[in-house]
Amino acid sequence: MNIQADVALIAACQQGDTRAIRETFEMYKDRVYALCRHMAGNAEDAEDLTQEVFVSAFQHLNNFRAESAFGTWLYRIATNHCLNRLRKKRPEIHSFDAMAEVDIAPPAPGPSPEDMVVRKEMNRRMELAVAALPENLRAVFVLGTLEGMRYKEISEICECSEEAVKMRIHRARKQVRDKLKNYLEA
Amino acid sequence: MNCFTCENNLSAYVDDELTTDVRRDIEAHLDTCEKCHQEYETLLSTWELAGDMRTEAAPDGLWQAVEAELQQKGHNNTTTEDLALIVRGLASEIRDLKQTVDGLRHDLEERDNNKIDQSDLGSLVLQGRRRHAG
Repeated sequence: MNIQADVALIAACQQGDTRAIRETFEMYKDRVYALCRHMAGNAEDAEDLTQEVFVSAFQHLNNFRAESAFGTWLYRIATNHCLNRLRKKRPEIHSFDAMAEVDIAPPAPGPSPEDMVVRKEMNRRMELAVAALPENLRAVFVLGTLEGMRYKEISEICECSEEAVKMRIHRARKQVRDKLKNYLEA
Repeated sequence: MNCFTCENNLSAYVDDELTTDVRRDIEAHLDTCEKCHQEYETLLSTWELAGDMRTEAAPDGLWQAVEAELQQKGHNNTTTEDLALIVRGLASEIRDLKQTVDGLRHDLEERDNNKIDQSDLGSLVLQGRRRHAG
């Protein structure tokens, strides 16, 4: 995670400076949206979630004590918000198993139109595989594998040990791998 | 290193989250164990496939939605305690203004009285002079 708002910018936000708030939003919007997108599994919910996350964060800016980086604090809000939404939406039917009937060929080398179609389909399958993960595994998988965060930061966001992050990421990755096994072996 | 330890560390190995010593042990084990090497390859493939999903930009118009909700919530967040404070503040300002107005009125009245006194004194002086001259 390279993006970090500086202390002065966040202090300005805490004073109610709307320009600073806008700047902070622009700085983090793509990362927060991507996190919500992967957690929710669809664009519509992701947009709502992103909006809710920023509104909640900006409303509670005075709770940010700079004990961690601002990004970590924001991602913690986003992760918890997504997990709460997922819990409320439960039970959700993931159609991955039904989709497993669809037979697709692995991509041939080189960017052909067919390759693009296969890649898109693979992304969809990956999304479904991620959506099928239990919530606690999904959070670390999204943060670690899709968002590329270090284990230390994930442990701060999820408020667990680095060892727990390591084990969860491994379990999550194996579950996703197993869902995509047919494709990976082809 | 045995297969159990190696397998448990493979994701951390892919993510470059291991110490140099453990990393070296894993690599040595992978060189000699076909089963663990196969496991490593499939985990790596999963990681690479996930890479295609990593970047996604936020849709346009999100800021407008956030800003509108913040403004709405800002207005709605005014509690009865906030209102009581506002009323108390206004009452205090009204008291201050009243005192200022009273002070100004008092000053004006005093100034008018002084003018009358001075004009009365002037006319008495004039009358005295006339009597003296007569």
